[in-house]
Amino acid sequence: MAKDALGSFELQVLLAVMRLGDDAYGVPIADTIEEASRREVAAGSIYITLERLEGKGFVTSRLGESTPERGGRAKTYFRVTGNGVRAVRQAQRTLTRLWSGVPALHGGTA
Amino acid sequence: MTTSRPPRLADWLLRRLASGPKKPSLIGDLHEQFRGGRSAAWYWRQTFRVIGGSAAWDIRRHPVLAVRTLALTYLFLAPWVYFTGNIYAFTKWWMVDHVLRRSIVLHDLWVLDQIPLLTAWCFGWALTGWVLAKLQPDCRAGMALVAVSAQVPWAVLYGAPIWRLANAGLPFFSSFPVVTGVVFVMIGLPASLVVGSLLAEPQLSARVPD
Repeated sequence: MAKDALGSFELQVLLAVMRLGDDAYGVPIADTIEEASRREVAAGSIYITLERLEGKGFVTSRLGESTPERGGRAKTYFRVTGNGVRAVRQAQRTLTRLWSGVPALHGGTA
Repeated sequence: MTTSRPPRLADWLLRRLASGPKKPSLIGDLHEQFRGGRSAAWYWRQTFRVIGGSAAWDIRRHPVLAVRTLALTYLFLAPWVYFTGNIYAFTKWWMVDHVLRRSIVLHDLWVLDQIPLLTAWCFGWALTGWVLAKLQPDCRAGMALVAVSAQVPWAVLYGAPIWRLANAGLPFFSSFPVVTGVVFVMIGLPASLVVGSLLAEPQLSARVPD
């Protein structure tokens, strides 16, 4: 896979971060993906993916506030960079082109 | 039903075996979700997935460190096995003549099952795990996995002849000491290494006080 190409889970995480805007940290990111995929998401996978995305320059992170229910540990907030948005758009165009060429998926629910 | 505090053992394991610069935030997220109504079973599932993911991530991200850990593991353990083996061999018959003469049970434990030697090995493996964790506190899950994997050739070398003996129909009692040895080598030693690695204190540098 090319270095700037997005894997399936990377795309999900990036989309969740974009949807959440300024409130994107681990817990709401996991909730957003779980809600959409209706599957339990491993918190560890989200952080590993975000570290990879940060390495690719698709997201940036900053340390936020801590709360008592977090055991005094700070939140890490994430924000999608311009490169990240471009990568998501590229993935969207690629997938749309591929979907439009599959007649079995037109209007079906399977 | 959930309590306000996450399972202590899971939390203890997480603090020691999770890795990555955002580890405190990850643990904080798990605490927040647990206090938000997730179950203890969910917390344990997440803990195992975080540890597994951390181990794989550590090895992928630090291949040089993994090779160094492999080399250090053998560097620590080979002399330990050599010295303890020699000390045991030199003292064995003296012990038999002077200490173990009156008890057949003690004699068998010492001479046939080689319990003192195997115990010394377990101690050496635990110490190695502790030293490795001290050297690489930020990626100890991956490095513990590498160090435990280094045991596989030993376990195969030791276990394969025993497997053949067992298949040859050797009576149970005469093979019992050998079985004890195999259990030690295949389970006791890797477990000792992991326990030693867990006993080293974790570092949570980005923790923010309440």
